[in-house]
Amino acid sequence: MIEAKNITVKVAQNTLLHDANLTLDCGQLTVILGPNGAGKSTLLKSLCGDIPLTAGQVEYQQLNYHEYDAKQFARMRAVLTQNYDCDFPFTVQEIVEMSHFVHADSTPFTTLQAYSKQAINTLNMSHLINKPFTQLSGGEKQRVQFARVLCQLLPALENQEPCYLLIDEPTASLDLYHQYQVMQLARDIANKGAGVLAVVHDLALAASFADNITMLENGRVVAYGKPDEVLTEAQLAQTYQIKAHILQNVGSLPSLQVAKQALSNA
Amino acid sequence: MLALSQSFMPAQSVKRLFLIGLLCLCMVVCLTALATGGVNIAFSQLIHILNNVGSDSLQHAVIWEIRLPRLLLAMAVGAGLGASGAAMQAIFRNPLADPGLIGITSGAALGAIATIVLGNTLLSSFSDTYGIYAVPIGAFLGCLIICAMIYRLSSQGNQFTIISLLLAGIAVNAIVGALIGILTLISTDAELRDLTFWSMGSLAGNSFEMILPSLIIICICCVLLTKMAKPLNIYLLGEQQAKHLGVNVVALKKKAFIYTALCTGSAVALTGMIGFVGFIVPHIMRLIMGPDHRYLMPASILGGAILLSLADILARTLILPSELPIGLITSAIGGPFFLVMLLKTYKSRGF
Repeated sequence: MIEAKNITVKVAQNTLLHDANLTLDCGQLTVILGPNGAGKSTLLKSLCGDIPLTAGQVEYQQLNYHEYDAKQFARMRAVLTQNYDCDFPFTVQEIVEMSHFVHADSTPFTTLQAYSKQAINTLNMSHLINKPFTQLSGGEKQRVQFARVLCQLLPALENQEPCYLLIDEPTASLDLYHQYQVMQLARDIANKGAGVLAVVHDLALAASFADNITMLENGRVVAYGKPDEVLTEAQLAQTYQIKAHILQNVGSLPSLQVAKQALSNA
Repeated sequence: MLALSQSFMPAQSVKRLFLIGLLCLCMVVCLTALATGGVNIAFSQLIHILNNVGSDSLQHAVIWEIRLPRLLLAMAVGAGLGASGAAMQAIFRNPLADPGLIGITSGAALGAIATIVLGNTLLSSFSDTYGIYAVPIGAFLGCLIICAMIYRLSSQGNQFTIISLLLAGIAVNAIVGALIGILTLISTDAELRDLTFWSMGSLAGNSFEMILPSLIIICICCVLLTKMAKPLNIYLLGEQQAKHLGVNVVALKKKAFIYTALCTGSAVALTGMIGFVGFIVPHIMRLIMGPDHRYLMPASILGGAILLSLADILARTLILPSELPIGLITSAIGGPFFLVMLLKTYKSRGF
C-alpha cells in the first residue's frame, strides 16, 4: 500500500499541494483528476520521489520511501511519464531491456529476457523490436515506454510481491483507440496485482477504468471515492465550472454529457 | 518465441564481431606504425627486434626508444579521447558534446601556455624544479583547476544539473580564453612559436618515463568509463526516467565528469590539443553500431586508438624529415570521413 500522509509541496511562494492524503492499494486503479494547475502531476511526482516534500510523508509498505535504496525502490515502483525525448537511436528492444538494470542482481538473464519478450508481446510491438526509437510515432513511443515499465514490474508481479505503477497523463499524445488500449493495459496490470495510479485528463476514461478517483482542486483533495460517487453533477460544477454528467448506456463505457448552456457564463 | 529470439540475435553478435574486427585492425595499425618511418624496418626484422630486448643496433633503438613509446602514447591518447567523448555525449544527452565543454582543453591550454610564457619569470621555480616535465605538469594542473572550478560552480547542494554545468563551462571557458589571450600578448616570439605548436598537438619527443603516468591514468579511466555503460544507456532515456529505474543520476554525472577530466587532462597534458577525436570517434562508432554503450565505449576506445595511431603515421612520414602537427591530420582525415558517414546515413534513412 502507498500512503501519502498530509503532504504539502511549496515551490518558492506557491503552494502546489496542500495537506493532501492518498492511499493506493495493490490491485487497485486510482485516477487523479482535476483542472489544469490543480496539482495532479505534483501529487504524482511527490509519490515517485521526484520532488521534495515541504511537509508530510509518503510510505510504501508502511516504510518511508527514503528508507529504500534506489534499486530496491525501482523494483517496487515504476513510473511512466509523458515526455520522452531521446536523440539516440536505441532499438525498441534495447529500450525495453533497460529495465533489466533494476533486476540484474537478483534475476537470471534468461528470465529477464523472457520478461521483456512478454512485455513486448503484451503491447503488440514484436514487429518493431529492431526499429530505432527515434523513428517511431508518438503513440508507438508511448507504447514502448509502457512495455519498459511493464517489464520493470513483471518480476514483482510474477512473485506476487507488492508493486506500483505511477502514470502521468499516459493518453496525452494518443488517438482514441490507443487511449482506451493504454487504459485497458493499466487496468490489466492492476488486475494482476499492481497498484496503479494515473493522472488523466479525460473524465470519461477515468469513469471507464478507475476503481477510485481522487479529485484535486487548487492543490487540495476535494473528493475521493468510486467514480459514480465523485463524478457527480455537483462536483463537476464545483471543480470544472461546467454543467455535465456521466452517461452510462448498457453495452458501452461511460461517456461525458456536457449541457449546452455549460459554457455560457465562462 | 524462437523466431523472436533469432531475429534480434544477429544485431548483438554483429556488434561483437565488429569489436573483434576493430581489435585486429588496431594490431595491424600498430605493426605498421612500428615498421614505417624515417628508418624503414621490415616486418620480419620488427618481430626479431621486439623479441630481443637487449641489443644496441640503430633499428633496435629506433623501435624501443622512439617508435614504441610514441605508438603507446598515440594509442592511449586516442583511446582516452574516444572514451571521454562518448561519456560526454552521453552525459549531455547530445551527440554533439565534446570534452572541451567542461573546460578540460581550455584548462590544459592555460596551464601549458602559462608555463611556457611565464617559465622564465613568475613560474621560474616551477619550471626549474620539473625541467622538461614542467609543461605537461602545468597543463595537467591547469586542467584540474579549471575542471574543479566548473565542477564546484555547477554543483549546488545535492544538485548537479547539466544546464548549470554547461553554463558554468561556457563562462569559465570565456575567462580562460581571455587569460590565454593576455599570456599570448606578452609572450616573446620564441614562446609564441612554442605555444602555437602546443595548441596544434604533437606526440613527438616523449620517453617511456614521461608517458607512464598518463598511460596508467588513461587506462584506469577507460576501464571505469566502460563499466558505466549500462547506467549511461539508461541515462539517455532522460534523467527522471533513469532515477525511476534506480540509477543514482547525480553520482553518475559526477563520476563521468571526474573520469573524463582525468582521462582527457592527462592525454592533452602530454600531447597538446588534439581536436576532433573526442567528438568524431564516438559519433562514427554510433553511426555504425548504435548507441548502446556496452559496445560503443570499447569501440570508441579502439577507434580512438586506431585513428590517432594512423594520424601519427601520416604526421611523421608525410613531410620527412620534418613533422606535421597531429591535430591537423586528425581533422583532415576525420572531417571527410565523418561527412561521408553522415551522408550515407541520411541516404539510408531517406531524408
